[in-house]
Amino acid sequence: MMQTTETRTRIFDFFLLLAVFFSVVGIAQRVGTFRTDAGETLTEFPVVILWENADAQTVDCIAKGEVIRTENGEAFGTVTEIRRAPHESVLYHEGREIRKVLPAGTTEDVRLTVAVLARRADGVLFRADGTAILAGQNLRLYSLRATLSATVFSA
Amino acid sequence: MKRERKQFGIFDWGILTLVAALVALGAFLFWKKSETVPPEVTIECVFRLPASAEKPNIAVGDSVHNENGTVMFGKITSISERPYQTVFLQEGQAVYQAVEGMQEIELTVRMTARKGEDYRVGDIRVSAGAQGTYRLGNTLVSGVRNISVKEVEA
Repeated sequence: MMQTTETRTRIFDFFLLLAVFFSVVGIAQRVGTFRTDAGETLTEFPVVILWENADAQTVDCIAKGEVIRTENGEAFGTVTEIRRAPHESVLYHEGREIRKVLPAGTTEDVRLTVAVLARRADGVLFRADGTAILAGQNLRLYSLRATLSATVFSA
Repeated sequence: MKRERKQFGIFDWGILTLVAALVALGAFLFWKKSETVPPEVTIECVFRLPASAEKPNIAVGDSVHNENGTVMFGKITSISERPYQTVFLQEGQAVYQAVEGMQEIELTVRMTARKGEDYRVGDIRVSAGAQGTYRLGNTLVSGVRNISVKEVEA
């Protein structure tokens, strides 16, 4: 009788241990997957995006080192360089193209260099989620304080 | 009858340790999750209304809501106006100057927002560069641009 009780306890312990073991393996595997995804063959590429016709006060709302995100909150990249220039207005009159540079501090054209974690395949840059980054593509991106409607200038 | 004496062996210690580790991990994850609730901060936004020759009926202290009135962003703390300037042709030359009679109105709106990856009031993202329709007091205005967002002391 005593022997049977002890044996049952051992079997119960064994299954409990098995359950704990698989739980630990599951957690470890999940953590491992996240890590693999993040580091897997992705490298940082500088992508230049052009943000045109933005108010100077709005441009002040973005800073070097900030992470900019896509609509669904995924990180697109980190801003590494901000080049600001006054916006140039173009008018056409009697077959002539007339350009006018707006005064500093009003409306600006901004070239942002963004370090994007991506991989290159057949000359095309792909982000971690598989979306391609192509020159000429229009993007709507978000920083902590600003919304950017920008065009990919070079990728 | 002699009572059975149960042995608490190394095997049991092992299980106990693992269970304790899992409980600790669970507690840590729970604590970490609760920590990710974004804090509330006070921000000030500058809203620029479309250029117009008419002055809207808006005053300091008026509430700012979204278009259908379901979200209250905050209250107007100051109003300023400036001449509307743009580029146009004058004697064949492009000039940048004020358009007579046209004004641009700028409102400073103070609001309490949740700060996470962005600032949000309700589910609405508040960011400079965005454009929308707002209820300003009892006036509905379209094409209002959010020019700047800055965090201020409450």
